[in-house]
Amino acid sequence: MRRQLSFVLAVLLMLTLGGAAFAANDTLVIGTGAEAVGLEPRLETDVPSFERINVIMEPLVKFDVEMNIVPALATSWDFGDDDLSLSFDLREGVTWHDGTPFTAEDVKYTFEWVLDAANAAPNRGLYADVSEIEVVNDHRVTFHLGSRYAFLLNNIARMPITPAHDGDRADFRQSPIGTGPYILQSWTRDDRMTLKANENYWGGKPNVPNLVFRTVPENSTRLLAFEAGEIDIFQGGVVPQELSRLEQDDRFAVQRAPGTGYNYLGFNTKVGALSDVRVRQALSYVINRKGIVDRVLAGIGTPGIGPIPEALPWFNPDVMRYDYSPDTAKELLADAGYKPGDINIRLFTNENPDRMRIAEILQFEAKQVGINVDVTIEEWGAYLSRVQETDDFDIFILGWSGQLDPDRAMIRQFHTDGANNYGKYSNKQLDTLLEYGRTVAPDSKESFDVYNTAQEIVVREVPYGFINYSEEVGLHHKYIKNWTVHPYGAGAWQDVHLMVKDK
Amino acid sequence: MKQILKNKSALTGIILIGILIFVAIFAEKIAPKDPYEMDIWESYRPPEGLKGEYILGTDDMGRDVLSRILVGARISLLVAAVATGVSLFFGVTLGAVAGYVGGATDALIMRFMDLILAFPSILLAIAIVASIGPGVVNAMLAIAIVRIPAMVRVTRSMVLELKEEEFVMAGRALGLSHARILFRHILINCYAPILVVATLNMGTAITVEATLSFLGLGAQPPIISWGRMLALGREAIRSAPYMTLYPGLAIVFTVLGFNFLGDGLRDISDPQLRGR
Amino acid sequence: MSRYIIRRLLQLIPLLVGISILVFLLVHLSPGDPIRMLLGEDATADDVARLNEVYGFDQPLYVQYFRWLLNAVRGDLGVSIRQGIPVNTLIFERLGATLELALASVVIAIILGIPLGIIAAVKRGSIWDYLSMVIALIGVSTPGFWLGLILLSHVALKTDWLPMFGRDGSIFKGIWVLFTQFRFDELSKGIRYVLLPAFSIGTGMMAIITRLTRSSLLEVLGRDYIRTARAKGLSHQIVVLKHALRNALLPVITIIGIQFGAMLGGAVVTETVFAWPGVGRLIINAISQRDFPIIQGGVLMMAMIFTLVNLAVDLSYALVNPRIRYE
Repeated sequence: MRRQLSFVLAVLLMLTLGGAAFAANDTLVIGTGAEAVGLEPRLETDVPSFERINVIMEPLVKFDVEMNIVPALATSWDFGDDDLSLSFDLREGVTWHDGTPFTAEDVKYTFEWVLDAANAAPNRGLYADVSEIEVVNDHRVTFHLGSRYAFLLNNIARMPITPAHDGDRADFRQSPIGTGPYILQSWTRDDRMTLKANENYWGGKPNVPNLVFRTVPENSTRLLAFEAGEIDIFQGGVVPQELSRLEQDDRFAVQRAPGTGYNYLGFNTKVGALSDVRVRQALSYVINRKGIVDRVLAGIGTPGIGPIPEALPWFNPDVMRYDYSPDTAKELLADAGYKPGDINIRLFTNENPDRMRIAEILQFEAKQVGINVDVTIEEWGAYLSRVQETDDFDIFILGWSGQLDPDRAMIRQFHTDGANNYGKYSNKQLDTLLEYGRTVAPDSKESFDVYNTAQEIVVREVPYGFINYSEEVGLHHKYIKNWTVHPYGAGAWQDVHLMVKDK
Repeated sequence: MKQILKNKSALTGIILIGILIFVAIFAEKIAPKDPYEMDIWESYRPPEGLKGEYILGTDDMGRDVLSRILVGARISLLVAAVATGVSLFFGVTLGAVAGYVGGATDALIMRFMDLILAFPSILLAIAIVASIGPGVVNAMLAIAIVRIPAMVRVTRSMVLELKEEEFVMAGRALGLSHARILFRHILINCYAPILVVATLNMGTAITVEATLSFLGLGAQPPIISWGRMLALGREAIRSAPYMTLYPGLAIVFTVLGFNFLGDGLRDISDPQLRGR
Repeated sequence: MSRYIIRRLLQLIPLLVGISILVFLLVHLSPGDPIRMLLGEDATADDVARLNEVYGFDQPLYVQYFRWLLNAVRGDLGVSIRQGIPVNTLIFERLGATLELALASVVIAIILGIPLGIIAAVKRGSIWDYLSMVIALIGVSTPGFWLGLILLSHVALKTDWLPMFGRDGSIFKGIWVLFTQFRFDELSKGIRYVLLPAFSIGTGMMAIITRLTRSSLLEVLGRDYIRTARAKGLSHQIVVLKHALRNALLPVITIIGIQFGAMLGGAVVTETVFAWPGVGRLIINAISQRDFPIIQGGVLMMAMIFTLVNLAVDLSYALVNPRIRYE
C-alpha cells in the first residue's frame, strides 16, 4: 500500500514539473484567428493566408501603415506617356531563400501564371487589363495594358512574387520559398507554423531569430492565451467587451487604426417594398449605428457612412447622413404609402456573432416603425450560395474587407453588371462614372470628383445600408517593440523583421 | 401518488419541474420587464439585486436578463421535452422490437441505427439543420434523431437480457402473446435505465441546442432560448459573467429537476427496492 | 469467436455504403457551391464552369458518386478542393489529436463516473447519493464551450501549469518516451495539454456513466441471484463489486462505446474553444467551405473508426456477461 502511495505521489510530482509554454526571447509568437488555406499567393483569397504569405514573400510594392504605396521588391515605378504601360525598377542583390537571385523573370512568371486562364487563378480579374509583361533587363520589367487602368499599382501591391525556378513544384503551396524576412520551417495545420529568420534579408537581418504563428479560432481563448503570455501579439478579433480593461493594463499595449472594411445591409432592390428607395432609406434611418458601435462593439469601429473606408483619401464625408431617426423613417414609409404592419421582410445572415447581433437589433428597431423583419441565420456555405446565386432574399448582412481603392470598393458592388452586385442595383449615371473613374489618374482632382459624386449617388439611393466601418485593433505585450498596427490585416506582419522582443 | 410524495427524489423533482412549468406558462406575467425591449444605452448593467431596476442585470443589447431567462424557459423546456419525447418513442419501440424479435429484424434496425450513430452526432445535427434550414423545430428534430440510437441500444440490451429471464419463459409457457409479454412484462422491467437515459437526454437536448446556437443554427432571433443566451454571451464571460451564469444555472436547475424526478420514479416503480 | 468477428466485419460493408450514400447526398443536395467558395468574390462565370468540369461536378450525381466510391474503396479519398492536399493526409495528420482527446475524455469520464455511481448506489438515499448526482449533472448541463471558457479563465489563467490552448507532443508519444527513455516530461506535457479539453468533454459523458452505473447497480442488487449470494454469506463488499458490478456494467459499456464514437467527430465546439487540431474542426471548416471531398472522406473515416470501436464494445459484452452468446 505504501509503495503504491509513493508511486502515485511520484507521478503527481512529475506532472507538476515544467510549466506552460512561455515563448522565449528568441521566438516571437503571433496569434491568428484562422488557419491559412495555403501559402500560394496566386491561389489564396483569404486574409489569414496572406498574413503569413507576406512574411515569406513580397510584392513589388506594398501598402505602409498609412496606406501609401511604398517600394518593396521594386525600388521605383513609372507610367508610360499614354498611361498604357507601367514599368518597375527592381531591387538589386535580392535573393530567394535558396540563394537564387531574384530577377524580372520571376515577376513575369508570377503574373503570366495568374493571367493564364487555364490556371483559374481567383484573382485574375485584378490584372485583366494587362496584355503583356515585358522583361526589359534583369532589373526592369514593364506591364503593357490593353486599356487604361488607373489602379493597377494597387492590385500589383496585392500579389507577392513567386520564384520562376521553384513556383511549379507540386508542394510549393505548402512549403514555398520567397524573398521575405522569414523562411518557412514547418507547418502543422490548425496548430502552428514555424519560421526562422532570413539572415540575408535585403531589408536587414530580422531581430528575432524565430517566428511562430499559432491558430486560435475562439476570440476569448486567444485573448486568454495572450494574457497568459503564450502569445506575444495578435491583430484582429479582440473581444470588444475586454478592450477598456486591456487598455488600462500596464503589461499590454493596444494599437488601433481605421480599417479597410465595413459591415452593411444588402438590399434586394428589385422585389417588393424594397424596390422603393424610400423604404430602403427608412430602414437605413432605423439602424442605430452609434449604439451598435459604442455598445455592441464597445467602441471598435465607427458608424458607417458610405462605400469607401475613412482610411482612403477618396472617402467623401459630405454625403447624405442617416442618423438614427425612427420618426424620419415613419414619414418616409407613410410617404411611400405603407401603413405599419404592411411590410414583411426576410433578412438573412450567417453565424458571425456581430452580424447576428446587428440582425437582432435591426429586427427590433424595424418593428418600432411597423416593419416586420423575419431573421434567418444560415450556415455560411448555404448563406453565401443564397446571396450569390439566388435572389431569394430581401436583406442580407455581409461585410467587405480590404477595400484599398475606390474602384475595387465600388465597381463590383454597384455597377449594373458588377460581379458582386447581389441586390441587382442599377443606375446608368453611376455606371458611367465608375467606368470612367478607373481610367483617371488616382492622385488627380478628377479622380476625387468622380468618386465623390459616385459616393453621393450610392448613399442617396441606398443599395446598401452602411452599418459600421471596421477598425483594426492590435494587441501586444509591452516587451514587443517596433510594431505598428496595419489598416489591412493581410499586411499586419510585413515589417516583422524590425520587431524586437525584449522580455 | 402517495408514494411519490413519500419519495424525496420524486418530490424534489416534481417541485422543480412544477416551478419550471409554472414559469414557462406565466413567464410574461412574472417577468419584471419586457424581455424583448432593447435599449442599447442600458447594455451591460451588472445585476442590481431585488431592489434594482434590472435584478440580474442587462445583456449586450440592454435587455433584462431575468425576464429573458423566465421567457427562455419556454423554448428550452419545449426543446427538451419534444426532442426527448420523439427519441424516446422511436427509440424504445425500435429497441424493444429489435431485442425481442431478433434475427433479420434486429439486424436491419440495428444496422440502420449504426448508420445514424456512426455519423458524428453534432455533424449530423449540423448537416440536418443546414439542409432543412435553421430554427427551433428543425433543431428539435435534429436533436431527437441524433438521440434515437442510444435509446434503441439501451432498450435492446435490456430486452435481450430480460428475455432469458424466468418470468418471460413462464409467460410464454402460459401462452401469452408476444406483444403482451414484450410490452406488459419485459418493458415494465427494463425501464429503469431507459428512464435514466431519457431524463439525462432532457439535459443533453438543452445543451445541444446551445451548441447549435454557438454555430448559429439553434433558435432564431427574436426567440429566446437559454442556449442562445449562453452562446451569444460567451465572449463577455469575463467582463459580464452574469450574462451567461444565470442562464447556465437555469439549465442546471432544469436538468436536476428532471433527473430527480426520473430517479424517484424508478425507485417507486421498482418493487424490489421499495422496502429497502 | 473469429467467425463472429469476420461476420461483423462483413456487416461493416453495407454500413459504410449506407454512410457513403447518406453523406454524399447530404453534401451534394444542401445549398452551397464549392467552386464559388474556392474562387471567391472575383470569380468569373467561365472559371466557375471550367473548374466544375475539372472536378466533375457537371456529371450526373450517380456518376460522381460511383467515381468517388470506387476511389474510396481503393483508399483514395480525393483531394481537398480548397487546399489542394489529399484528404487522406489532412485526416491522418489530425487523427492522433482526435483519438487522444476522445480517449482522454472517456478515461476521465470513467475515472470520475463509475466511482461516483457506485457510491451513489451503495449509499442510496443518503447525502452522498444526492451529491454524486449534482456533481454528475453539472457536467451534462453545461455546454462544452461554456465550461471550457470558464475553466480557461478561472483555472488555467490562475496557474502557469496548464496551457491555454493547442497541443504539444502527445500522450501516446509520452508513454513511448516513458518506457523507452524513462523520461516523464513528454507524458507530463501531453497530459497538461489534453487535460482541460478532455475534462470539459468528459464531464458531459461522466453524468450518463454515473447515473447508469447507479441505476443498473441498484437494479442488479435487487435481483434474485444477488440475494442468493448474500444469503450464502459472502460479505457485502464482494457481492457488490464482484457480482453486481459485473452485471451492472453491461448498459454502461454500451453507452461508453456510443459516446466514444460521438466524441470522434462531435467534439467540434470543444476543439474550437481549445484550438485543438482535431478532425472535427477540419470537417466543420470543410462544411462551411463546401469542400466536398473532405466532408465525405472525413465522415466516412470517422464512421469506420466508430464502427470498429463498437465492434470491440460488443465483443467485450461477452467478457462481462457470458450469457450473451455470439448468435
